Amino acid sequence: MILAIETSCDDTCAAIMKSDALLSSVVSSQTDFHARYGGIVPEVASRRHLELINPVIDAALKQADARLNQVSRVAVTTSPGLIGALLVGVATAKAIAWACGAEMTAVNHLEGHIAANYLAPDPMEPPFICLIASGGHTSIVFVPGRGSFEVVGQTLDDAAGEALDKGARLLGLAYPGGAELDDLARDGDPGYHQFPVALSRPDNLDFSFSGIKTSLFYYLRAAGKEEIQKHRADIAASYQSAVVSSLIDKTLAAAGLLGCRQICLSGGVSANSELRRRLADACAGRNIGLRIPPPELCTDNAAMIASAARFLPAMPVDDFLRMGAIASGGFAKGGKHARRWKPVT
Amino acid sequence: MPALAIDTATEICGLALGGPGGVIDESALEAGRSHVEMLLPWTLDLLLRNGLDRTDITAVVAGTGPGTFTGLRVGIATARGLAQALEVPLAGFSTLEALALGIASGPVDEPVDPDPSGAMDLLPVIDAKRGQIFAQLFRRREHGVEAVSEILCLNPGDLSKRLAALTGRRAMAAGNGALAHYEQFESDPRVEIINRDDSRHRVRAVHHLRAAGDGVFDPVALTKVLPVYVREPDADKTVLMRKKEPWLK
Ligand SMILES: [Zn+2]
Repeated sequence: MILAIETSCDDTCAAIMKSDALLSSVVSSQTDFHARYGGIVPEVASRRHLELINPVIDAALKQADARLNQVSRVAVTTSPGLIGALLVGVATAKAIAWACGAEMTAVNHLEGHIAANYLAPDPMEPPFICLIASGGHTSIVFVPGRGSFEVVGQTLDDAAGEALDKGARLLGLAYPGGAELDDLARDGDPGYHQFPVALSRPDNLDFSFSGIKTSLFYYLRAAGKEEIQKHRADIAASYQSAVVSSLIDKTLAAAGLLGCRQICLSGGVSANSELRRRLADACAGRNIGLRIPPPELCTDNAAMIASAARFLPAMPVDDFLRMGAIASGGFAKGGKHARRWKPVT
Repeated sequence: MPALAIDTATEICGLALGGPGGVIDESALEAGRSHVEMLLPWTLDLLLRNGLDRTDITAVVAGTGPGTFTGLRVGIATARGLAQALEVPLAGFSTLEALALGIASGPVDEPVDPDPSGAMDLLPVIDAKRGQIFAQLFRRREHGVEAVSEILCLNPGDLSKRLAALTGRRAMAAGNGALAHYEQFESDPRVEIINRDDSRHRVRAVHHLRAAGDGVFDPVALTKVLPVYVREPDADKTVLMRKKEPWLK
């Protein structure tokens, strides 16, 4: 039986998995808590994780009708994420695993998002391209097999979800705002205004979203109050469309460049209705298989961490006792997965 | 059947094992910022050299600070995880009180009460970073010590004035906060700072065992054992973001 713990950002999560059956998955979201700051404050998130972690684990055990002494392996997110937040999960996981005499598996958060796909119903089998887009990260990864992945593109500044949230805020919507922006955009004309999409060269798989948000700011400042009032939905639709276009173009380009016929979506932004609709259309037109796991598995959760742990080795005991957490996950600084894939031109 | 005490409020990783029969063993090692990496290996070492196993632990006691936020969270998360998995009682005790007990009982290698008449108050001081200190005034009592002030969070330069308002006695000071501002403390007529190399500047987890009734105590719900932060979380990061993007109010 696997106990999985995930505390990399602002959700405190625990899940129980027995062989291939997910028995429980508990997520205690801190969104309301951070709303008053208009963003996630790392110290606030860390404090909240410590308050919630043991009750969340208890709840996951209870829902699974299990006890800690039945746990044979503990899986925990060790990177990337907010360091203080990660440490609460890591320290808790280590103590429980050691006390229970259980094995330990360290899971990369992105690996977790990918493994959300391997949970029922109908997982997609590798090789596939996975677009992971959320408020905290935006990456395109190539998955050659279960338990391995390679980052082939990522955002150089803001995450896609962050760009949507900030756009929502500029339009006067409450934090986090991405979902409200999506609702507002439904009634709008995405062709109303052309917002710039950075790094649009097809051989570049990286993203940049900071320019588009600045451009929305200046657009709103130049537009009259009347125009904004009258065309709020159109502006929202145009802005969202630009962010979504960037995500779709790069993902399809990655599939093309790598000769991959399957695409999987993960991360909170996968709930965006325009992304789902347009990516589904694009994939259907190109005869590419598309899989979008259910929303509760796409946003941060511990079920995906348990799922990933099934395909990863247990750590030697000495290593797990000395295990820490890494904020950057080694992606930016040349870790195991930093080897960048160079497209053939 | 020993209780395990853990303190990670400072750069020292303080560990102790003990029970009603007294202290079995202790360690106080320099963990710096690596508490999460060193806490379990050092706990295992401590158990092994006393012929004990993790399943022999009958209670867990955690130092609750104040101190470094991350260090405290690592120590308390570990203590809570151990108590939850081993199904043993848990309690948290003040790190300032542990330091005060240490000041009153004398150095480790020569545990002679430095002030048997009890004429001086006790002033444990923990580095609060950003040029500030956490301090609290304690007084000796027949069984241990008693806090006679709130926890203060202030600039060391303001300490003398605050002490004058709180007590007529001089105070014996120790702790990493006193070391960090040694000259300031040395020149303060209201304070007697303990020598730099004295072991009493380090937090010893054995004092938590003492505060915890030698490991026999009323357990507290896991969620009640939390760091004493003293400071509110500052929204630094959000503020930074707003500076970079001033339009995001
Ligand atoms: Zn995520």
